[in-house]
Amino acid sequence: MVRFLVTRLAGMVGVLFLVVLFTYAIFFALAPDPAVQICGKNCTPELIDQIRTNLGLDRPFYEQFLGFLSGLFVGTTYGTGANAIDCAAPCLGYSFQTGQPVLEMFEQRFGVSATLAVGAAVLWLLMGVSGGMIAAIKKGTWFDRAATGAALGGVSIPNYVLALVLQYVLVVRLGWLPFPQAVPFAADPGQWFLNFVMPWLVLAFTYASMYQRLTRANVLDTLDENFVRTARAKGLAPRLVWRRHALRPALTPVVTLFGMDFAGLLGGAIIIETVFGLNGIGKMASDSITKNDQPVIMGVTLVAAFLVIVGNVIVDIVYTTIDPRVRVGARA
Amino acid sequence: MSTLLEVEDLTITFRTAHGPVDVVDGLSFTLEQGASLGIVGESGSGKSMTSLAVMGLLPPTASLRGRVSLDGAELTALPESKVRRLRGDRMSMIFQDPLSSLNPYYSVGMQIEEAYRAHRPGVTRRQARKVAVEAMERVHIADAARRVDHYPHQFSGGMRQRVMIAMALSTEPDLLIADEPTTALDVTVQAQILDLLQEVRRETGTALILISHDLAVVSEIAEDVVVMRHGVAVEQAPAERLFSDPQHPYTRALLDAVPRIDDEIGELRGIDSAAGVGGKS
Amino acid sequence: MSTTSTGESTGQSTGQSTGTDAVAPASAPAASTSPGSGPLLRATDLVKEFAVPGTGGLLGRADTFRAVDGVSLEVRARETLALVGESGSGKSTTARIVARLMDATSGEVVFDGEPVTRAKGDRLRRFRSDVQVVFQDPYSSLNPRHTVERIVTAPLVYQGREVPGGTRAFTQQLMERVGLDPDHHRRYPSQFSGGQAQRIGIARALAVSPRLVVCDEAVSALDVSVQAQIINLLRRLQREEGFSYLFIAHDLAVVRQIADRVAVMSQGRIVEQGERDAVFDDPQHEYTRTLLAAVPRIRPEWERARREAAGARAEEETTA
Repeated sequence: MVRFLVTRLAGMVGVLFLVVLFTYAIFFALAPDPAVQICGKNCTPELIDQIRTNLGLDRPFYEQFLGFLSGLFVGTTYGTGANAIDCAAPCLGYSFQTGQPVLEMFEQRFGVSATLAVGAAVLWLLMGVSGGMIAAIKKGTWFDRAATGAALGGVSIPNYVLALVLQYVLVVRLGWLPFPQAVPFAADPGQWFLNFVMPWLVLAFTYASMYQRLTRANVLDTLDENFVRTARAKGLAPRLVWRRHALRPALTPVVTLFGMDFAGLLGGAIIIETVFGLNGIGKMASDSITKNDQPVIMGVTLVAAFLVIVGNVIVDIVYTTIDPRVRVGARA
Repeated sequence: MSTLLEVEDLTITFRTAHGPVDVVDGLSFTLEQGASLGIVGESGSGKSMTSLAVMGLLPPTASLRGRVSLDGAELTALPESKVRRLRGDRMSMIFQDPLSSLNPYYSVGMQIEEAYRAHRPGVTRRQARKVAVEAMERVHIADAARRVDHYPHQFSGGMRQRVMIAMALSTEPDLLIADEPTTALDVTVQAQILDLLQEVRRETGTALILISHDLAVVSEIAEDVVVMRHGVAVEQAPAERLFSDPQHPYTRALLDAVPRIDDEIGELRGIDSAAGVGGKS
Repeated sequence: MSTTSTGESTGQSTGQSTGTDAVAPASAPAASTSPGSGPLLRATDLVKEFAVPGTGGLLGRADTFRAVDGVSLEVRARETLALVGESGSGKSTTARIVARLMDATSGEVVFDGEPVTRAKGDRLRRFRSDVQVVFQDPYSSLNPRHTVERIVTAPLVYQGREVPGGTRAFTQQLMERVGLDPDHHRRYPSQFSGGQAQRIGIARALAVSPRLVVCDEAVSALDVSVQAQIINLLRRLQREEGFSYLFIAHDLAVVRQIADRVAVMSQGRIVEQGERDAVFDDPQHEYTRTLLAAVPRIRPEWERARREAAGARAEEETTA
């Protein structure tokens, strides 16, 4: 088991390194000169050069890259002298447009994205997994057809379309929900909560559809398994056959998929946050792309990649605890 | 000797896309307490469906006519909840592929305990575990006390089938149905499992129904034999009579077609199902 | 794709159309494989190692285990060598190495005097027209989306050879030879019963007029009655065509019916090899004895009584 963990962690570090390198290289090669952006309107070529030297932008690629890497561990200082800017470890970069270290920007916005992810996750697990289970149990009935049909819709409809439609229906026409307004939790918890209802619904609906289909298919497959037949042959009560023998094997892949989906979602739901004006990491990403704020884009990419990779590793480890066949080192 | 199982005019019909199909048609046989019956047939003969019907495990697309009685109780007339109490308790079943027939997520001990506890409500976990270990020892699984916590994939094919037998016998049923129990096993392991079944029968007096396509296997174990073809019992007789003087042309042709290990007969007689019975290929 | 060179360079007629006579897949020529001129196929010291999954990784190489551990065997012309063993014995792996469906870790395979262990390209293609395989489950080894015609002519097509007489005529002739209704040449494997589907597989193997047919548990998945028919078919074809069989099986009774020589495998090694009757009637190795003893048998006295009764009936019928 230890060997397995070490191997996985080493692999994880390797992949992260490659992601960092690749992303950094792309931005290095393709993005417009940050010095020009920082310089602003009243720019002269001498000023630009000065800024570039200050920021170390005239150094060769590998030096800059190593600088970035070391910044992740020990922090970086941009510039020299009185105008020097300190970026504490882990330094994900410094946004000259907003005047903040990228990490700080993350910290401010992470709460929103996390709330969005957690709320949606609860909803989609409830709706999707139970919907799938019941559809499988009652295969062929009206419930099954309705649920599966709805799921097909959820998977097919782009979530921004759904978001706009929902906003139109619930806010404009029916007036059941107020327009979303950015409000801190402390100031007005009620409004804060209501802000999230529609985003939760939209996000949940898309994921719930996928999970409903997956759960239904898995449960149906498991019901056909020989060991379920054995459980029935032993005279176990139907509930017990369901719970212990059919559901557990069927849900294992769902649980692991959830781990990865959730981890990815923590990195921000760009479209949802933008459509609903939620100030989360996703919106930060989309804003920084339009404004071409390189350090932020870099930071978001890295964090998202990190979360997905870590999520993956956790899921693998969880899987070995759930499925005895996968346990490394389990030999007769 | 009293009659343990009585099957009377059993007909099993499946609803299919092409209309209703009879997979078993008018089957009747009886089984005495402690006796052994072999049901022999090729694929599509309906032999497996028969055993599922006795256990009440037919899929919902199947409907059943006729009577099945266990120890006087008419199973076909009982509600499912009552049949469930007998299933796994008075009558148990083991299947062909022991790997897929055991749940890979749970230890074998847990699965044996579960069978026992389903029918002995007052029993504690400690007691059930003891029963599981004893059951495994009875089927000669070495180091049972430790292996009871192992998972199915940690056992070999023959061992897994022993686990299935242990599980089936943990409740001391009157009837054990074995559906092709050795087909998926190596021949040396098969011999061990067949010996085990004989031993268990001697020790516990459990009646056995052995279902197989392998005539030689059936000849070694069964006291009486039913030969099925396309859902119909074409011949029923005590083993000695069936094998030494078969009456029905199909039985004769089947026995002719079995390859012998003892010597070479020359041309094996095949059975052309379209043309009927007998004749060379 | 060249259509002539590969066919002609083996020096054997590949059944190229010579005119209006019905041209069946040509029988093996008498020329190069007269009995006694050396074995058709010889495998020497075959070894196949597999990595054990779950071991190894960053910190070391994986453990290996030997599925085939130093196997040497010979198949002579016109004979059937049966390779017998239980699961894990390595018999299937050996067959695959011999048929070049898998590469050996070490060892040599020599076919008709030519080493083929590492043959590639043209040489491998020639080998494929000499050695064919019939697999256990026709429904999974035959492409369910191809018609019989396509399946049966595929080997010729893949080897860039002409189909003598046209695909339809060729297919129908082959189907007749293996006992299938030639009108079904446009059907799909799923429309046939198990035994019939297996006949398609045999027809496919015959299409290139092989000299050695590897039967990998070819009758194991069939019902008893059908099994008998297929065994008879295989024997008849061998008598008519003169090819050899490497017959892989776990069922000793079946082997008794079809083998000339038998090799018994256990845990990657051949533990006993010899003429069929010698191995069956006087097994030398412990394992062979165990294997033979384990096979279920119908009691001999019952068998005798049954055959006597059948014989008596047959006499009655002829005298009646």
